[in-house]
Amino acid sequence: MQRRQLLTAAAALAASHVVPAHAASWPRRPVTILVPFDVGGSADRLARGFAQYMPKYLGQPLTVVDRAGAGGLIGTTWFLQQPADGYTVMLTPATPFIPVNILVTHAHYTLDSFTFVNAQWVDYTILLVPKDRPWKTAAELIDAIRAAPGKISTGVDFGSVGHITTMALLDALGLGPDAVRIVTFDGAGAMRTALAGGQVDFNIGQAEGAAFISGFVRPLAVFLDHRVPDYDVPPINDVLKAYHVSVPLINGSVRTFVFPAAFKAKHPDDYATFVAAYRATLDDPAFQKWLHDNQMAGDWVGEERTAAIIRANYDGLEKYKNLIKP
Amino acid sequence: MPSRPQLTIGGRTIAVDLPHLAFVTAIAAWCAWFCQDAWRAQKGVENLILIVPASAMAMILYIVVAASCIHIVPPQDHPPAAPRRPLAPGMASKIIGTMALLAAYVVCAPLFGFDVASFIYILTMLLLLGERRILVLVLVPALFCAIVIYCFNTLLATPLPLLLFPGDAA
Amino acid sequence: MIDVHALAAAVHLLGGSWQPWLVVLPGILIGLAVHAVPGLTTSMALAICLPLIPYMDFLQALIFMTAMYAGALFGVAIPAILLNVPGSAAAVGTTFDGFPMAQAGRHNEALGLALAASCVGQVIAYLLLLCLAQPIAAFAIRLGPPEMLMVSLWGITLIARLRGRHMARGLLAGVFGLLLGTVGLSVRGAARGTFGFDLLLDGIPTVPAIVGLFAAAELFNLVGREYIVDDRTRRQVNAGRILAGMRETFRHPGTLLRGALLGSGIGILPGGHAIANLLSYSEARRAAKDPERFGTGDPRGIIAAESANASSEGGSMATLLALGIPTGGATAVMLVAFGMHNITGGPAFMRDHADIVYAVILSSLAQVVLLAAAGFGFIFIAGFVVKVRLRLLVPIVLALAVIGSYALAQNLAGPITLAAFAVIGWLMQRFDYPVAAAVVGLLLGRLTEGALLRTYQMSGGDIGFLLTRPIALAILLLLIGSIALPYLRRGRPRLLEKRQGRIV
Repeated sequence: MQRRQLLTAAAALAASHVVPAHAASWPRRPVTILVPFDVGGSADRLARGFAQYMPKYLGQPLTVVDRAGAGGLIGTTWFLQQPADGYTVMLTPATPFIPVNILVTHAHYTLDSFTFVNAQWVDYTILLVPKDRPWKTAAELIDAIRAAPGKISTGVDFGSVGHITTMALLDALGLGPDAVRIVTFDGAGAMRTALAGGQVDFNIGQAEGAAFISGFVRPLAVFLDHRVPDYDVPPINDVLKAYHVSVPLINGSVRTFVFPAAFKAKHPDDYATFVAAYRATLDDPAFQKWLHDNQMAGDWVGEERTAAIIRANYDGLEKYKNLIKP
Repeated sequence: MPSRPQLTIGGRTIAVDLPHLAFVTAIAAWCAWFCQDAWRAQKGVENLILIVPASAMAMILYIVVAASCIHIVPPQDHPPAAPRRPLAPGMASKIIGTMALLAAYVVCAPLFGFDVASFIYILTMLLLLGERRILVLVLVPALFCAIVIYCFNTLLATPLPLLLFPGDAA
Repeated sequence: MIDVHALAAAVHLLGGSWQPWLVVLPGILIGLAVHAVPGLTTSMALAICLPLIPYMDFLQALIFMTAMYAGALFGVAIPAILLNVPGSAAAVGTTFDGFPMAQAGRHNEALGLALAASCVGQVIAYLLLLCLAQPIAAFAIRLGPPEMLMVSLWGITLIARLRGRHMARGLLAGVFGLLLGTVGLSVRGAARGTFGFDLLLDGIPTVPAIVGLFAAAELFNLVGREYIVDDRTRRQVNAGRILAGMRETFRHPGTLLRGALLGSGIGILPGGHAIANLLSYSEARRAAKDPERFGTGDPRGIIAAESANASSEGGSMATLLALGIPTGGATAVMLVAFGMHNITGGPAFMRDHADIVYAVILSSLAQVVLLAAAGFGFIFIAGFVVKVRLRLLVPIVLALAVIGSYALAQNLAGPITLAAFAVIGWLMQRFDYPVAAAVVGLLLGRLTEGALLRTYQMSGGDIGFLLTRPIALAILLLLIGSIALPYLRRGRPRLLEKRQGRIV
């Protein structure tokens, strides 16, 4: 018996498009992973990892489809227009983009439109300067801004957590939005390239996303309440103690699989099938190695905690969103 | 020769190239509306740095072009020659038909499925353009649909909405 | 500059076995075929190929991707020449002289010219990359918004050159295009000119708009005719003539070299490769003694546009290979393919993987030779389009373009844009407005707006800021020189003539 199961598994492995003999009611056909961002972004790369490793556990191939546009709004809107039968699942940095779509771009959906499966890869925020700039600590940079308001420039990806955090930091220090030259870029990728080339003086942005420019920049502070092994720099609020202020710590990108809320409500068994296959993929050592090699995370925190993280980020963004309005 | 409407004001005859004036006015109107829409959306430098100067430029050019649509015809002259090469007889209806069919196809195909819509579109276009051989009328649309839909759904993995063969890919 | 040791390792890597090279032909053909269909784009072709990558070993994947790239670079020229449908923004310049040549029955020569110019452009770009990858990359990373702004302004001067018979109409068409190019979300999240449609938030989809403006408008004009080529005796596919076109390319070495160098330079800039062909075309026209022949089927127009298009991707490859930073969609996908084999980008990329960098460059160079052969065969087949009656061709091309533009985004934005711009394009032709000027404006609108805004933001409104950007100043001086030179060289009589509007 055990032997037969092994054989079945091996057959499924060898030809991943073959449905296992004990085909479940769902999925009966390939599942589409929708990524509402461009090919090559973090969500797309992660999705392609799943397309490679998950069919073994789901019993059906997964195809990745990218529908970029308007900070995820166009793809997410398209996603919600598909039947809520589970054959289309979204993989996206749910925050900050879904809250920003809702709060800033006036999308026609709310947080309740979605089921967030698992915040498997949560990024944090970090303060970076190009290597050729003179500032060695965050305090030196802050003092330089105070000494010459309006002379130092920062690159922002409009509406990102980094952007909001930049404005919150200026606000906390009693500096107006004109204290730095804010240079707005179309997307984090363009912004990071500009930072690496020294086009701007500093940037507050996502730490893991910036790994590929790490040779060009110097970190000055992390926006966490503790130190991290990857960067030997102090938490920002430790630096700010000298100024008797603090800034809110908003989580960075929270990458998770997302279903329309109606799918879980109408087909709880199918949803459970997906989650089981997803967890089995996460437990696969080969997949974990792939994640590690690609500097991605594959943590299991569960649906409830994911919802709580996203809700907390939404509330934080809502509180500070007027900082980024003109 | 398409005659231009002529006005006689105070002994002078004025010829107006109305179709062109209408077209250039439509373009200028869109530019003006767009500038106003951008202004309404956000009044910051970030939003208007290119749009306002470009729209102003468009308005100046509009005045120049619109003025050139209006000619003062000296009384002894014949009306000026037609500015455009005239369409061959029967062409106007063919071109309008082509445009209308394209518009209908664009709207209908995603709604009703690309298979049926493409078949009907190509068949109607062939008829409009003068194809009368039954074999061509049937084979060309059928082959087109079969090959294209197979390529998109299977090779390109970008399923198109279909009416008759929705299958798994729909 | 060349790391001989790594180069030897790369040769060993590539030459170790012949089996990985089996994927070359499929790669080139996929690249050619996808791009020869109006409305499909490079990122689509790459997205199709990505699922195959995990099943190949790294070397095979690498050869496959570069082969597809080589095919893709030339593929876009085929519909540009035969149907006036640029396969992507990068082939817009090719239509200006390519389609007039085809209509005059010189489609064989035109395709041959494009193929040879594309191959030479790729060879020059990759040779530059082989010798100078590190310095190019170090230079590239210093380029930012001010430099991009100068290049965009350079592009905008092309509008004035394409103005057609009526100066004011030409400029209005260009400004109209610029404004159309800025439709959608502003960089601060304000929706402009979208009529409230979410689908327009990302702007007017460029490829369907171009296909609509150029192609559909042109096809409407062809509705009453029988074939693309009027002259029955010239309606043939002829290998000898394709070869003659390829040979002709080398009779214009100046145009070829200028195009390839300009393309390599502009390709380094983020987003630059879409406009390299236009700048090169513009410069070739400026440098010519008889600029009025451009646009009527002049081989130099095709050579200039195609050589720059082909070499611009080499420029964008420099930043990818030497820094691990992608500057365009296609290079971003390449990085993903590397990632699937656990090779991640970054500034250490060149240092740690010099052999792979050289392998990419060498295999790209090898692909060019194969592209010359495969491309020849492909255009020999594609050339038969001129034998198809227009009443069959017009509906098929229009339907393909609609399906292609739908499939890309899976929403109606593409098809509706295509249809709307087809009507606008036809009306523009009717009233003697240069459609090409509007297309150039459309391509440059968003690029110019972003570069202008960021330059303004970086400078804090201080014009003296430009003095700290020597490269931007140098481009600006070149631009002023390029505009002023013809006047200085040809003296007053020519200037007067031009004022009277006799020379376009």
